[in-house]
Amino acid sequence: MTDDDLVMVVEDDPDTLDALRDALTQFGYRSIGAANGRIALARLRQKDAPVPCVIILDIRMPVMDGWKFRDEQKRDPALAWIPVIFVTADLGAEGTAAAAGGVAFIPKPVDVGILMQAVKQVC
Amino acid sequence: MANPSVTASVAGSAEASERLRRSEEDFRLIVTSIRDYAIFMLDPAGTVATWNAGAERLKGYSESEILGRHFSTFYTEEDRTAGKAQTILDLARQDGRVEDEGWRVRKDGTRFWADVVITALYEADGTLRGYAKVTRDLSERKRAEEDRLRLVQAREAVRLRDEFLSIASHELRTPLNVLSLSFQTMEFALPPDAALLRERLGKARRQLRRIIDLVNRLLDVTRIAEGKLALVLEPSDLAETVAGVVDTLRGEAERVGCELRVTLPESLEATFDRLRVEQLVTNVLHNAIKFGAGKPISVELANATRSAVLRVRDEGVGIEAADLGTIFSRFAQAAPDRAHKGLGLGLYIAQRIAETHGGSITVESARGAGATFTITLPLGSEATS
Repeated sequence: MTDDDLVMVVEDDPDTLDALRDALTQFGYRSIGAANGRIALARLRQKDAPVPCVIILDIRMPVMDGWKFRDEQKRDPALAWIPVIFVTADLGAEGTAAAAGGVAFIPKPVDVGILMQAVKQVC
Repeated sequence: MANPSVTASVAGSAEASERLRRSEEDFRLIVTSIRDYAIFMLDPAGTVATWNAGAERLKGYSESEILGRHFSTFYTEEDRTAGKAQTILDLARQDGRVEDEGWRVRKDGTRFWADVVITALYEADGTLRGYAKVTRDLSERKRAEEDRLRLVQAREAVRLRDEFLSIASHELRTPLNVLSLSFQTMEFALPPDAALLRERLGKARRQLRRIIDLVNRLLDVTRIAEGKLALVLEPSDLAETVAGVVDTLRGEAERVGCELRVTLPESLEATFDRLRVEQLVTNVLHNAIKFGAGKPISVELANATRSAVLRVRDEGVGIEAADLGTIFSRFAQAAPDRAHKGLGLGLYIAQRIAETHGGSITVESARGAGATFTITLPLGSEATS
């Protein structure tokens, strides 16, 4: 039972996180944020935690980066099915993102229109 | 009749004398003839007692000019005041020999870097006879060492600068990305009738786009410097890629009055990094528009069997002969003036991309006669790293 209008954003830069959540709000979505992969997993695993319909995932983060988060997520049957949209400034990460099974790969600077299209596809 | 044994011993000693005389002559010949080392004697007081060809060549004095003068003549003013000459002789007596490296002065006043060995010489009875001095000119070696040091320092300075540029570019991207998101959210929030506001916001977004592009170029340059220009090679259509770039820049060309005359084959299959080649063609075409002085620009792509050849020709201000050599260097703008903005990195990046593909980019130009850029890209994958 996912919340159809709840999106999780995992991004280590606080201003970028804010701006992404702002954009989501504008398009009618609620959001929860996490500053890195580990915090995101902890929040998702909390008892009675709401389940997002999609996770917008930055790749370069301290403590636990996007790739490691995705690996952990796929290993956990409770979380594995949640679709993931990769967001990153790194050119050339597209192939790895596809291999990791992301729904979309969006380069930074993020085009909000494209991001919302991808979110709408899975939420 | 002469006594045979006396005759024999007289003859024997005459032979021994001759041998001694010849061997002394040999040694004298060795010392006097050597030109690469100054080899001479000082008396116990330090005055010059002998001289050789090497000493004359190194220090400039002839034998008659220098004999009898104190050897501190060869020292610099500072060393003489410090009493270095005496100190060195004292050390030679104390340790038997002393080696020193330092500046010495020639007859004409010029300095040279010398390696000097002074050995104390003693008579059979132990009294000091004088000193043997051997001096070598190390100026060449010292110059080479200094050049090497300067090269190492220069390389380090460039490395530090590139490291800084890399860090700075990465740091700049984050706030630029946030700004981009903010502008987009603002635009989405505009009511449908806010035309003026929308236009202003559009202009602001374009400026932001320009900054982002400049920062990306800086980042590319630092990546190239670190050897991290990794190509993603895929079979694709070169003609389509070039056409795409032409379309993108057509508006800008028209705005300055440069008519674009394009000749492309239907298609040209090749293996290349589409994103990077787009960047390459954009940079070269952009350069042609920038310096094209509102005259027509021709863009021709041809299949040369093993490679593709793209020619971008403009009829604008051209490039000075003196600048042709540096036009592909980093931060080199051949015509730096306020009308031509940017970081001067476009052509450098273009060349790096072409060469990493295993291709090349060259330019022919003359002042006031426009410029022709010829880009060659292998059709197959011949990328180097």
